[in-house]
Amino acid sequence: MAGIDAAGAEIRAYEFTVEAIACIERALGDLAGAGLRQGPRMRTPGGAVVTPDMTLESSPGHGGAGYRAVGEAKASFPRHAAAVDQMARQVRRYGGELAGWEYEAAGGGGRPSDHDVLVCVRARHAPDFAAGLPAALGKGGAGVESPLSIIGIARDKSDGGGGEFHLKSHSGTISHARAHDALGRGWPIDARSLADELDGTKFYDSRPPCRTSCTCCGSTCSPTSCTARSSKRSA
Amino acid sequence: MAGREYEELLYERGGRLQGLARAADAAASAGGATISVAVLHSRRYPAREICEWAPDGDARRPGVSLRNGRAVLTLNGRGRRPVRVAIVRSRGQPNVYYALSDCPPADFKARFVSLLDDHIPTISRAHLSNAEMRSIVGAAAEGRDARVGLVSTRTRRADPEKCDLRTDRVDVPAAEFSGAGDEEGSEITAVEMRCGRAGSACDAAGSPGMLTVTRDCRFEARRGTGALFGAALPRAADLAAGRAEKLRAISRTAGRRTPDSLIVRFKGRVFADDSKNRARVEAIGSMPLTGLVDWHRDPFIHIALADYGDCSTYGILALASDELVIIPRFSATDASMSRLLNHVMEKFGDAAIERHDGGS
Repeated sequence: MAGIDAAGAEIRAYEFTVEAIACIERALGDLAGAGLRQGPRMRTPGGAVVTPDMTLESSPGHGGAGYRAVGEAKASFPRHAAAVDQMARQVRRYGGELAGWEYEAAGGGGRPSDHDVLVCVRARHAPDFAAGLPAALGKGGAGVESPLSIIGIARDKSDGGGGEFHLKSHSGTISHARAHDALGRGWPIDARSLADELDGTKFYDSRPPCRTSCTCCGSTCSPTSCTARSSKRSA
Repeated sequence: MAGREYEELLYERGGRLQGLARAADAAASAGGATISVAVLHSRRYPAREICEWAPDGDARRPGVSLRNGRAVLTLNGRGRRPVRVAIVRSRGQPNVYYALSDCPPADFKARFVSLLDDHIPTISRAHLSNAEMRSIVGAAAEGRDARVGLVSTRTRRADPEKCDLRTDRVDVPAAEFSGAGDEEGSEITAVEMRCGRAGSACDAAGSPGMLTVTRDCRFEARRGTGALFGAALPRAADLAAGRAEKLRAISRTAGRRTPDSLIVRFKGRVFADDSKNRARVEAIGSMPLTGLVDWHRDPFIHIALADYGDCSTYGILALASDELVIIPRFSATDASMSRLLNHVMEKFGDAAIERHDGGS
């Protein structure tokens, strides 16, 4: 059973990231007018290349300075100390100076204070992250330089029984005032408006677990080409 | 005009009664046999499709003979009476056909209709919603002295596999028939009516004809078939063609990145209680010849369904308590969508179908 559980967890973690990217894109698109890039290659001052799950940017032309954020999806809080440290190092890198943004910032360059770091987690793990992540960041030194926010994402049902996604920031600040208020209170996204995206998008910019790709092939792609009788289709 | 369709079906240009339909009508008029009719939608001639798709080496594999230019299928069962089915094209709708037989209705359903449903993916049968059944009963009653005699209803329980069946004896004029009360989860499965002989020359003299309309779009007529051929079948053909056209419009968009989706809106809040989601997913997965991926069902259902009959694939989401969204992925045929709709309506109850534009 352990094997099956592990396989399930792997698939669900991947699925969560896909979902989180869709939700964050929709939420920050609506709230801050930001566009999303998946898996962009960003450079640190040391010349190293990092690829966060997503970056969000709005063009600075509209309403003064544009909004910038680096987003990373985490399905669950790591169990082992080494993994926690690794995650802290990763978040600290994203919170440092980064180059490779789409739009020039007001002052030029990519100062850490110019962008947020959004850690998107499953809502039920949000308290773990809110408690554990700042502690882990503080352990190695000065924490993270950019504003850091932990956003819990949950599948939910509205009072009327409709499916929705619920986004809520659990700690930290988002430097966009409207997004900060809305996510602080909790921001629902009607699942119907995301339905086509959720059903049509199964991958993001990272290698999927083998079982995810097999499932997608088996359920969607191969029946359309592999069935012996496909030549007899009526369409 | 009421008899026009009937004559068109049964008479050749010279005005002679033809083939099986003649025998069936004669039998029905004598009060002996029941004529069963199923309404089919197919883009190619159904007899050819049935021969092409019917399983090899199966006792149910039909033989086909031509009688006066019409195909008559003969289905032989081991040790059972052969079932003969005549297939004729409807007059008004080019892709709609009627399958007629004078075999016992139970045989017609168990041997012919189930052969279509299980093995012939290119032929679709449209199940009727309650509103559509009422419209057919209304059409059959027009210009006749018709009264509804028996109404069978089904009341759903929370578990999609369980429902209560009931048959009520009523006596209301068919024109005023409105169904068996609109209590939640209750739906009409069959209506039996008596049709007097006013209007149509094709009715048997004397006793009124009996006509039964079932939810899965089958008709049974005894003692006179005027109301059936004159009014009920043309209306059913129009409904079947309308639905097929709607589904075809959606199926054409299946290859797009954002295909149009099909919204099935049920009468009751059938997806209200999340704890039953597992049973619901299993109910959808019980559709024959399909494979299912359960992405998640907590708190709302999101599954992928592949119909191996003709390689159609769907994403299915339950995004409201009374609504199922079906998104065709890569490819989906209208016949397959029709089968899927019949299946979910069978499992979850009466529903209305809407098309949702996917854009681009």
